[in-house]
Amino acid sequence: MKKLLIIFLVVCVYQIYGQNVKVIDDKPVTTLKEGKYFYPIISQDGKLLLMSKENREGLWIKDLSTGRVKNISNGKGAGLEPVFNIEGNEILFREDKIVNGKIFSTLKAYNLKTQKINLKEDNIRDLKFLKNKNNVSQFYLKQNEIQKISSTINFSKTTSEEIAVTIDVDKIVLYQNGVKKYLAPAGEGYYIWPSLSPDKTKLLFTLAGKGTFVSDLNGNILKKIGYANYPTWSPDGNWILFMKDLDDGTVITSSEIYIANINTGKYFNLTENQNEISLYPIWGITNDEIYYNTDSGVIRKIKIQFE
Amino acid sequence: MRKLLLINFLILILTYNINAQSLAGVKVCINPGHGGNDSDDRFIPETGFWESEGNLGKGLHLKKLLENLGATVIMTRVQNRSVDDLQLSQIVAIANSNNVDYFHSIHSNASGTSTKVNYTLILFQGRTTAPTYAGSLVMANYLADNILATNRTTRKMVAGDFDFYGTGQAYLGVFKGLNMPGTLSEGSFHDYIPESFRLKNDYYLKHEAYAIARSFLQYFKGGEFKTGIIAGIVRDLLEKVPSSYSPLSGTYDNYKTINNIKVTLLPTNKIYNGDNNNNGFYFFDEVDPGEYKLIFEAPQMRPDTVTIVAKANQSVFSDRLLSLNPILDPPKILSYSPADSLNEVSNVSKINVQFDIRMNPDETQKAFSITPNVSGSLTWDSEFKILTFTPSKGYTQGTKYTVKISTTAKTHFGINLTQNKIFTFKTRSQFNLISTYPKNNFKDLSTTLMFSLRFDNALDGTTLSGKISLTDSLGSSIPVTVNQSRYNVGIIEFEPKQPLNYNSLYRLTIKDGIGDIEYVKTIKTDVIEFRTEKKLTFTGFIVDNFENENSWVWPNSNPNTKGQILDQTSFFATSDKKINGQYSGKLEYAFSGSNGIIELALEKPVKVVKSNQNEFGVWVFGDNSKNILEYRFIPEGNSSTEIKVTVDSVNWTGWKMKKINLGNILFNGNIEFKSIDIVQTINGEKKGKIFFDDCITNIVTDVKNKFELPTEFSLEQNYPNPFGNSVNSDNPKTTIRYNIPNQIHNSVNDENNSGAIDNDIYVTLKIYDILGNEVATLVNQHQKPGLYSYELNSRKINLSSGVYFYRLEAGNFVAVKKMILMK
Repeated sequence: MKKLLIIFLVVCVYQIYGQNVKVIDDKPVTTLKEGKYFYPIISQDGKLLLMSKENREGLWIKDLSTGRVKNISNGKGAGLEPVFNIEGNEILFREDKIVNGKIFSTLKAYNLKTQKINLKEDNIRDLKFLKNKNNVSQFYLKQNEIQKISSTINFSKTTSEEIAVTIDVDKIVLYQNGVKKYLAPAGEGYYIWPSLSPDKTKLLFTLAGKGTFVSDLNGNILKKIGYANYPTWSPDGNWILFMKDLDDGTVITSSEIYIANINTGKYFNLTENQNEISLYPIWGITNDEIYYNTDSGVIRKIKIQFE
Repeated sequence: MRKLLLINFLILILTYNINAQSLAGVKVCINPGHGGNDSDDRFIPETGFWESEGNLGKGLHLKKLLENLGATVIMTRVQNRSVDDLQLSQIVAIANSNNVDYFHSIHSNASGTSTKVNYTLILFQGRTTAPTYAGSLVMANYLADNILATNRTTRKMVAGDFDFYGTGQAYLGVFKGLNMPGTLSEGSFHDYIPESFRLKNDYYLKHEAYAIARSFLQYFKGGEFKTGIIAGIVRDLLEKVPSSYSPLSGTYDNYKTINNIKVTLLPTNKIYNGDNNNNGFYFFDEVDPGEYKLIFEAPQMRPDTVTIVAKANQSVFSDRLLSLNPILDPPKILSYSPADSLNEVSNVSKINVQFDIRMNPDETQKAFSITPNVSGSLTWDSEFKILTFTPSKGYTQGTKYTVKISTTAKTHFGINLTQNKIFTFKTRSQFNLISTYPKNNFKDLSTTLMFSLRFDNALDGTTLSGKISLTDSLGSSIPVTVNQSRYNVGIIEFEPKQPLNYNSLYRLTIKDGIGDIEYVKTIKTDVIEFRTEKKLTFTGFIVDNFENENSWVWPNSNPNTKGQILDQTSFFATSDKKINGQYSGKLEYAFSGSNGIIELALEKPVKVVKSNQNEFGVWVFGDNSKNILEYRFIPEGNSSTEIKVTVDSVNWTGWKMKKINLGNILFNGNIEFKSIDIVQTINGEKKGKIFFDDCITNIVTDVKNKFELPTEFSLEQNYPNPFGNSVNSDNPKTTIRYNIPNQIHNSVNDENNSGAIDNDIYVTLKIYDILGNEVATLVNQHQKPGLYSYELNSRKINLSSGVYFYRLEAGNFVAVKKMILMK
């Protein structure tokens, strides 16, 4: 019995720390005939793919079960990190206009059932979605003032335990139980690409020029991932997905997609057999699915197997 | 009347407010392009200009100007280190995540060809006539007009990257994914030499920053600057720039600029002191509109004045050509070099003669002579006061030279030198090999060793052909890979392309005639013989295999690391060298002081069993730095206490298993392996590169080829040959080597085996003259299987010069070789 228990423990430890990763499939989800698309985002149920143009203009939905592509906006900025609401029935996105050089945003919501667009708010300066988890948001910032997206949710010290994260120039801003906290866990510089771990106990972020890190919610560094751009958490919180893009100061010369195990630091190149420049990866709804776009504007899906 | 005055006053205030400049509420991102003086930077050797520095200078000035106007400015870098050279995707992410209204990237341009141009180029994303953001084209036109006006380039150009690069799609990485209008300015061409010198002037950079700030004011409809700028370039009326500058026609860039100018702006009494970067540029900003007087002064030049009218929100220029003040005194020689009667002068040393007055270059060059004659060139400084002679291929080593400047030397104003000036110097005579790795007769060397030859001056690589050879015991050449990157510090490093054989003898020959960069050559041949280590294999439990650098804490992040130079210390996984797997760990380090420590610690210490039977070790590719290699342990679960174990001085190169016996650690209780440390020593190198692979505990050592012996008889050619006093008076010896194999004596007919003990065999080594007469017996005894050598000293044998034969006889084996003695 003792022997069995040891074997069981070894197997568990191996599963957590000793996994190897194998790419078993890497195929296009969109074709150039359909158009060039970039910056994939997946819905909570894994059925819909949001995508935009290279310059973030316009927003399209690809229904992964039917393959149908539908345009829901042609607005400027619509492709800049659109999000799903917590209920999963609305897509929130922005459309920007420029008045005397200044950018003003309109916040819009696309209802997936009625397929209608509601204008939520107009003429917002400095609109930011506060992310609760990958691609899902409950709140947005309007000139640094927090606003709720859904009418069923409050954001107050007494009634909510929700946690969300965003960036304010050279700080990470963490909203927790109605309290706003500024963090600079890895020192001075510009913080980008912040996200909360699925269990909402850890932060993942990049400090430009210094690397990507994992910290606790008080800003204590737990792990340095190294050079890892556009990092995101795996659905189970054990892996980090990122791109390693290189440039010569003028153009991006190469980029590969990697995943790294947060516990062992072991990492795997998922696109070493892919000749194209691979960018902006996201996880599917399970650990074994990853979406990304190529530099030429094709969204691709990688299927991986943990051995 | 009072009402009318009030209305007039209100109109005045209103007009003022309409024209008052402000960017309040605007947020922009400024990206000074490139960064870090590294591989993706651009450098102009003729002027010492780095594009990253120019871009940053403009960016910092622009930040201040825009912030003074009330804008919020996000700078993608404010320093010029490699770490500030952000990836393009990060720059875009910074602009997007901060919701800026506009993005602008600052650059300067290069044609990269001998055809020099100097125009202003503004790029944006999209087609030239159909930009991704309409605002980008609007801003691009403002920028082109304003930068053309400040930098006074020859023309302007505005283009979308789809068309400019001919791709028909997005090209510039700094615009890809950007969520706002953006532009990239190439203000002027930094490989046009006169412009490159101007870009080294901080006020010139500030002037371009003003042009960009004026463009932002137009773009955001923020009004205009109420003050203006007065600027210009001061040049020498008499002197022209070298033709290598390729000055553009239609400009005054063919005139040489004047350094260290002083320009006074009256009546404000503002003073501008020029730099010495060969640009002659001057600049006054925040000048209220109105009439001013400028006074120009420069050493030895006639002062000049001009009246100029400053205009709001504009730059006005006054370029001046100054002429010399006449001086009728005879010239004096203020200094010269090399100093008179100096010995050991560099063989490529320049000769400098400094006069107190601007000289007539042609007449003064004719008055200059050097004996013995040396080919070379004469040049002048920008003020024609310092004459420099540069030998084209150095002087002759160890030679005395006499330099003379005769009285025919004349000043610019025609006054002769009153006395001949004569001085002498003697050049260097020697270039020496000062150390080698390995040294002669070293044993037990790694089969992957890196050879290092250190000379006392930088090497001329072209003199090395055929001068260095590595051969095995049979004289066969061993192919090597040579590192030429340290020739400039007098070091040649090379490695065998394939590992050498275990337990084998090799010979490294470094012939005379190797030259340094001063054309001085070595005069001595060196021969180094060494033996490689026996083959051992090490197996055990692998603590870490160095396949993943993330298992280790980076030395710079480790609080125990101290005294290191940050940007020269790093640790990475590499496939350059390895023992097992795909990677090893490469630690590059540099110490700033004298008691540094570089610590490479595991992310999590690993428990090891402390017993006399347990050995612990790491494969280490040494760098022969003479610093100390330590392994450090901690009591189990107690990271506050360290147990340091000195492993070895790093006095080897190539892979070696460096192990310790854990039973020798004086600590009661369980321990964990924590780190590998390089501890600086007084005589240790300040910089090094060391590799690690497979950190192992519970080591079992298997001795392979323990009785590795020759498998056949052989007699090698003596070395050196010829030999004797007249060949090398310091070392008149030669060595004869032969091998006796490990053979099984099972033949009853082997008469020479009779009476032999074990594998012994009867051996004779004798010398015969050319007529076949035996003249000496060197060996005459039973010998066991093995590798033998006999050293023959020509001083100790009574033989005359000539050709001789040496004959080895061992059992049925007989071999004869020829040698030449030169007494």
